[in-house]
This record gives sequence, C-alpha cells and structure tokens, in this order.
Amino acid sequence: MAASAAKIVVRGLAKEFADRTTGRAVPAIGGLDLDVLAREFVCLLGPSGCGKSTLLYVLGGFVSATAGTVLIDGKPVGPPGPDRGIIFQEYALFPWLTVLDNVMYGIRGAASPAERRARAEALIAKVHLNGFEGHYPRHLSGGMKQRVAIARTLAHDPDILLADEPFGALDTQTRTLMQEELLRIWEADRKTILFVTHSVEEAVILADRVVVMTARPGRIKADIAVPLPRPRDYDALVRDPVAIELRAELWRLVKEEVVRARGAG
Amino acid sequence: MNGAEEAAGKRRAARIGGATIVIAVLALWEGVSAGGFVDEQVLPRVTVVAAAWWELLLSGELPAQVASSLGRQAAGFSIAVVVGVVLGIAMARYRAIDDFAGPLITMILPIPKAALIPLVMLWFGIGDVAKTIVVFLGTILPVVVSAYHAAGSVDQVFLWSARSMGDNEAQLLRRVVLRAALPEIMSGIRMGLIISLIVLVGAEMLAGRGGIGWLVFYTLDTGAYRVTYAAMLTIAAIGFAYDRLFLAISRRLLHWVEQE
Repeated sequence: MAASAAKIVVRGLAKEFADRTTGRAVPAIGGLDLDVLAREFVCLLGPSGCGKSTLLYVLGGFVSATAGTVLIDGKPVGPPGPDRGIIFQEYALFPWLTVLDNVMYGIRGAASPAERRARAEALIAKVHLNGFEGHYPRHLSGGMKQRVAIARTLAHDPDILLADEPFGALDTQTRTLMQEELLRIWEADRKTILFVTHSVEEAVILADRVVVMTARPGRIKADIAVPLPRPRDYDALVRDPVAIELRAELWRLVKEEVVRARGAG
Repeated sequence: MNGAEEAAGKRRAARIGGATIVIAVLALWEGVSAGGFVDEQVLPRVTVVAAAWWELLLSGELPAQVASSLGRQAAGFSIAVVVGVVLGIAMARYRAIDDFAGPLITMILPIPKAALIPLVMLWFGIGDVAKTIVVFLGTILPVVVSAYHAAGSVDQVFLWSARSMGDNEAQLLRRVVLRAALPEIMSGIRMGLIISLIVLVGAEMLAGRGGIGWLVFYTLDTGAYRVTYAAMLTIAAIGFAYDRLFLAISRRLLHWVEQE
C-alpha cells in the first residue's frame, strides 16, 4: 500500500483477546483497513462487541494491536499522549477534583497558573457551565459531566478526538442537546474525530462519513459518506429526505450484523 | 431540608443515648463497688479512681508516661503509613514488586500481631526501638493490604484519561492512583491505628521501662489498683480521641466521596 496522505491510516489491523476461562484467543478485530482524513468527522457504527471501541483504544495507544499497522501522521501510533484526546461514555471525571481542576488537569507547559486558569474558564464557558467551576462531579447531571469531559479533553488541544459512545448513557433530550453542542464546537474548530456509536440517528447527524463494522471479528462492512450540508440543523434533519434515506440504509446494514452476531452467539 | 434536620435530630438522639450508656456503666460500677458487692481493692470506686487519676495527672507521672507511649506510637505509626502506602501501591502497579513482597506479606498477615512482640524483643531488645518496630509491624499490614487492593482496582478510564492528558508514571501515581485509592487506604489506616495502640500497650506490658502500658502492668503487680484503673481509662480515652481525630482528618480528605 502506498503512503497515504490521510491523518490516520489503519492497515490489516487485527486484535485478539485471550478468553479468561478457556485461555483461547478470541478475535475482536479481524483485518481492518481505514483511512481518516485530517479534520474529518467519522462515526464508527456497529453491533455491540464488534470491536469498534477496541479500534479506538488501539488508536489511543491504550491497547496494542496483534497484527497490522496503525499510522498517525505517517508515524506508527505511540503510547497515549495529549495529541489524542479521549472521551468515555462514563465521563471519567476525577471525582476528587472540582470542575475547574478537572479541566485544568491536562493544561501544562510553560503557561503560568493564571493563564492555565483563564484557559480552563474559557473552555467551561464554551460548554455553558459558567458558575459551576467549584462544583464536584457528583453534583452534576450526566449531560453536565460529559460537557466537563469535553472541555477537559479540549484543554490539552488534541489533534485527534476519540469518542467512545460519549452520549450513550444520556437520556434522549440531553443526548440531542449534546450532539448539537458537539457539532457547534467542532464546526468552529475542526479536529479529526473518530466517534463510536451504535445509534444510526447520531451517526447521520454528526458525521462526514459513517463506517459500518461487521459483527465480531470486526471488519469494515460499508463506508458511507454523509452528503448533508453544514452547519447541520437538527430539526431540519428529522424531515430531510436524504437523511431519512441514509438512516434507513445504515439501519439495514447494521441490522444484518446484529442478526449475524446473535446467530453466532 | 426537613430530611436533613430529621437525620441530624436522630444523630443527636443516638449521641445522647451513647453518653447515657457510658454514664450508666460508671454509675453501676460506683454502686457495685460502694455497695460492697465486690472487694473494693479489686474494683475501686469510680470516684476513687478519678481522684487517683487527677493526682497522677498533677504529679506529672501520667503525662510523662503518656508522652513516652505516644512518642513510640507516633514514630512507628507514621513510618508504617508512609512505607505501607508506597509499598502497597508499588505492589499493585508492578508485577516484580508484587512477586517479591507479596508472599512475605501473605505469610505475616494471619499472625496475631501480639505474637510478634516476643520475637521483636528477641531481636531488638526491650528499648524504644523494639517497641517502635512492634507498632510499625502492627500498623503496616492493614495499610499495605488496603493500598494494594485499592491501587489495583482504580478505574481504568481514570488511568487512561490521565495518560492521554500527558501524565507520566510519577504524575499518574500521585495525581490519580493515590487519590482514587485514598478512601480505601484511609480505612486501612484506621485499622492500623487501632492495632498500633493494642500492640504498643502489649509491648509495654511485656517489656516495661515506662509508658502507659507499663504503668498498668506495674501497678497491677504492686497492688495499686486504683492507678491501674486510672491508666486503663486513660488508654481508652486516648483510643477514643485518636479515632475521633482520625475521622475528622478523614472527612476533610475525603469530602468528595459520595455519602451514603
């Protein structure tokens, strides 16, 4: 394969886990190729257990691949670092730190404490949490926690954002608001985003491209561009014929894999 | 608001109840002793014990013995907390250290700590060093075990988040692992604190050259029972005060932990 200009290049990625009871190797990802361009918003869609989160963890440097190559900016992926921010479904805010201290956690370098603080406060304002700087995470709702998590990740200005079903634990209304908020932030400062979800609606609203994965072991089943204009209007998308068509198509693809996964299990 | 008031009211009632029981026991004690049901030599009246305690306090004997006990306790306890937390976290994070120190700790763990006292005296004599070592050994085990367990079960998303925000290993240990493990470590330390007092008094009784435990044993030997009781009540008071102090510190450090 020739050198690619893509931001993220994945070739022949395979990942096996050892089954804890039998000790046998269980394939989670089986030979996956993927290119993600700089500033592209890509959603990974697939049935539960298809290895989409594992792919994210390999890119984050948290988990090592069994086979294949993963390049970021042409270089093999390294250990976790601030060049790749990660957002988890369970927020992962440090409960012993206030909102402000959580957001300040990843801001380092030469900046003075006052600068760091100002930067954190600006990010907190950006996610509409002014006034909550001194609160501890346990006093926040799920949506607020995830806003803090987003601000905390943006604080170290990553090149790539890895999102592991970040809105999966939120109720539908909160989820919609969070999607709009993420779009607004991203449209103002486009980072490369790889966003794992199992919601077809979410993928269509957010992504430039939706990558559908097969059931375990995960491979790419389909790679579909989302030809909807930006900035996206959530309310208009509900009735947009292209969006409706796309949702139906994606759901058909995912359903095949869900059925297949159920048959195999 | 109402619920909080109600809870506060219940707590106040429970506290009054607790104090009432203590007073009732003391009154019963006084009555039994004064009424001649038991030999007043063996169980002196509370008022007599209190007078002996007051005398002991004024003479400077009690403060001196308490200070010498608490000095050893503080030294052995603090060293054990620091070493125990560091060792427990290191064992949880690094396989080699776990393999190296784990078997030894697992072996020592079930031994009643008081049984170690004669051994330590055999090796280190009966001076301050030996008693400090006894306290150290009594304290360190619950601290190591709690730190080991807590540091080994830190939520992976915390570790990964910190790493992706640029933490190196040292920062990760200090800013995440230690903080996340602290609630469980604090309960290990509380256990260690209680054990440290028990083994200290035991060691002083066995190898006496001063200290509050020695005072108990010595006065028992010489028949000054009222002083024995005064010293024992002092030990109880120290234990109670220590535990309260500990809880206050703990509440400060762990204010972020969800209550109930």
